[in-house]
Amino acid sequence: MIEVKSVSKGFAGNAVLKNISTAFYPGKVNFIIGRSGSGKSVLTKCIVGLMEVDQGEIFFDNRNFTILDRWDRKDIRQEMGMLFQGSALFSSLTVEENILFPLQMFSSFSKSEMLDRVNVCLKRVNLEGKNRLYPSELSGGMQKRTGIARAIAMNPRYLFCDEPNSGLDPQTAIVIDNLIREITYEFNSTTIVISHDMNSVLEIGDHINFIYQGELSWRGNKTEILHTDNEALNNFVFPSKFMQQIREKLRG
Amino acid sequence: MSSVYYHIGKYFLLMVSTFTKPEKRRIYFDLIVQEIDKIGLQSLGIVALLSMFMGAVVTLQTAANIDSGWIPRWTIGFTTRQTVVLEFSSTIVCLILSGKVGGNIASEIGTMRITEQIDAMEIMGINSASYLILPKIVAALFILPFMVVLAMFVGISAGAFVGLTAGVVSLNDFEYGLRYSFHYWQVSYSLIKTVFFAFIISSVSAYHGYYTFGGPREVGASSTRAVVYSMVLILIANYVITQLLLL
Ligand SMILES: Nc1ncnc2c1ncn2[C@@H]1O[C@H](COP(=O)(O)OP(=O)(O)OP(=O)(O)O)[C@@H](O)[C@H]1O
Ligand SMILES: [Mg+2]
Repeated sequence: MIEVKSVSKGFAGNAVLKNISTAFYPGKVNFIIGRSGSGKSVLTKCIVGLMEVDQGEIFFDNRNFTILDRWDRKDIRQEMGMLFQGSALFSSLTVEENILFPLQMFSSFSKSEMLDRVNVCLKRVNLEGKNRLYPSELSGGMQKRTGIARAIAMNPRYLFCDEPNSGLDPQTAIVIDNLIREITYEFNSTTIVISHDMNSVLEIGDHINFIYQGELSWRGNKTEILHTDNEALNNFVFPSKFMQQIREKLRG
Repeated sequence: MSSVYYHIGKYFLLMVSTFTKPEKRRIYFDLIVQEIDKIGLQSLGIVALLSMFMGAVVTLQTAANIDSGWIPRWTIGFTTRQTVVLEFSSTIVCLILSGKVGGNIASEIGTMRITEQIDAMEIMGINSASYLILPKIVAALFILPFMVVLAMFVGISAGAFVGLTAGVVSLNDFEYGLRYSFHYWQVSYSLIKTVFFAFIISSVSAYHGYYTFGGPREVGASSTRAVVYSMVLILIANYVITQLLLL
């Protein structure tokens, strides 16, 4: 479980996150949703420590991450996997080498065990046999899937996905969503997904955190989101006439 | 002015992270070998070309300018040696390399920064500064002195070649000039400078690449800054080291 306690963060006097407290649960797909510029990416970067918080604390299974220096953070970092919005694959390495990378750095596997692990991960994301391709030779969706394969190479306890299906067609997006859900349930990982995509929120969102103007405005699950009277949330999730009609249907 | 101190501070902090204990030696060894290839071997052509023409021109210039019976012909060999060994081979070669190698290092690391590849490493718990920068510095410190020695040989040989073919000096005179009051110390002096220049090129360029923020335009700007700062620092260091070592 990841706990966020009273976290605030600003840039040059401009407050981006205001006193956010929430929790993300193991074996669940936890969402962070909100409008563009609401602070989702900043919150995620604060959680993983790519940005320092101004105030507040982050706990990874009761381990206070905020007070650790970069050397002590390493142990927790090795339990994290992250899929970046732009995939962030190492462009000078092949698909196989990308996934090998964390294994070579941190696992005590032999070379052949590592390659086995790579192939298991590639199979998991339906990219068998693509070992020798370079990221530039992959489509956007294949890059995302390679990113997921790299993120799960070390069996992460904490999995972060920043907009995993932005820029993908709806069908591929669903493939990625299902993959994230399956991996979460299979490894009992604490998964955090940032998304704009209401489709995936309503499909795989076990816990949903809605950030509005830098504050945590609403928490709940995908059934509760249908019945909320939070106006900002309603405007965000059901912005169009069409979506409002769907909500009425779903509410039954 | 305060921004100068800010950059110097940030640079030294980056160097501290760079020189902390590597995660896995074996991986670092492989990386260093790769960098030696990229920084050194792939620049052999330009270094050889440059020193060839430098040596040739210095020889011809000296020959053209001592058209007086009072100055012996062996001065041509002597001047070529002094110029090539003391300054051209180290300073000029390193200035050229700061353009080629420095620009490369900055844009490579800068691109990794803006495409979040560095963040991806950090998330995995890897010390990205050490992983990306240390092999480049070690490789540069190792290979540049060899390249400078090569530049000396090529420069002097090219000087001898054009001197003889143009008929401005005899082989005997040229050789006498080459040997005249020669001390190994002069080569060491040049190599000591090279080691400092190698550190400047690799670390300053890496610094500019590592702290790139924005997009492709900023990568270009970082790469330019890397070259300019490396060159200026090489010139300053050259002056300071010469003052310290020769006087
Ligand atoms: N490094 C930074 N320096 C200054 N301001 C920043 C920085 N990063 C983010 N911000 C500001 O923080 C606010 C929130 O940004 P953030 O990237 O978290 O938005 P987001 O919710 O992820 O939006 P999107 O859905 O468009 O990705 C924005 O107003 C942005 O300008
Ligand atoms: Mg974002």
